[in-house]
Amino acid sequence: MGAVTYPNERVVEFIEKNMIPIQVLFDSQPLAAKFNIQWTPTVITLDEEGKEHHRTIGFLSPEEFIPSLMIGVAKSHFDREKFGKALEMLEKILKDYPKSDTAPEAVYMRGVALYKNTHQASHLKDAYKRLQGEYPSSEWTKRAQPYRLL
Amino acid sequence: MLRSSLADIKTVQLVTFFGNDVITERRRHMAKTIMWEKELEKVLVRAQAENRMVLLDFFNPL
Repeated sequence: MGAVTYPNERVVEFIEKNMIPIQVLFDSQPLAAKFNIQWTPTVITLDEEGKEHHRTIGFLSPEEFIPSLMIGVAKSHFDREKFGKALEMLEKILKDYPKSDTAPEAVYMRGVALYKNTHQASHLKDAYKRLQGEYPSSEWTKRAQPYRLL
Repeated sequence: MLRSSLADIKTVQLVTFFGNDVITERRRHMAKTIMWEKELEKVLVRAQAENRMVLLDFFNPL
C-alpha cells in the first residue's frame, strides 16, 4: 500500500477531500486490541465518533482502494440513516468505478438506501435486476435474490 | 491534510525537439503525499470539527 496505492495522486486527492488519515502499527495498543487486528494491512473507516463502519484487509490497487473508501463513507452515512448523503456517494462509485469490486455492493446498498428513503419495495427488485444484469457472479447478486420475489 | 517536504521534490527532465535542436528543460515537481496523523483522540476531535470520516490504517512496516 505504501509503495503503490498511497502515493497515487487520485488516492491522495480523495483522502485530502473526504477523510482524515491516521496510520498506526498493527500491534499498537490499545487500538489493535480495540479493533481486533489480525491481518495487515487493515484499513478501517470510522465516523466522527470513532465508530467503525467498514474495513478492508490486504492490498488494494488505487482503482480498488478509492471505491472501497467511498463505500466506507457511504456506509457511515447509511448506518446513521443519512440516506441522501449515502446515495450521493454510491452513485459516484457506480459512475466513476463501475468495474471495481466494490460496484456490486454499491448497487445493493443503493437499492436498500432508496427503499429506506421512500419505502417503495420496487427499488429492491430493481437492485436485483441490475445486479443480475451487470454483475451476475457477484455475491451481492446472490444476497439480493429474495428481492426478485417482491 | 497534505504536505510537501524536500523529500517529495522530484526533478523532471523534459526533452523537446525543434528541428535538429534538442531543448532540455528541468522542472522541479512537488509531489503531494498523505500526511498521516498518529493519535486517534486528536483525529476524532478534528473529524468532529471538520465533519469528515476517519481512515484508520494498521500497517506492518516489514
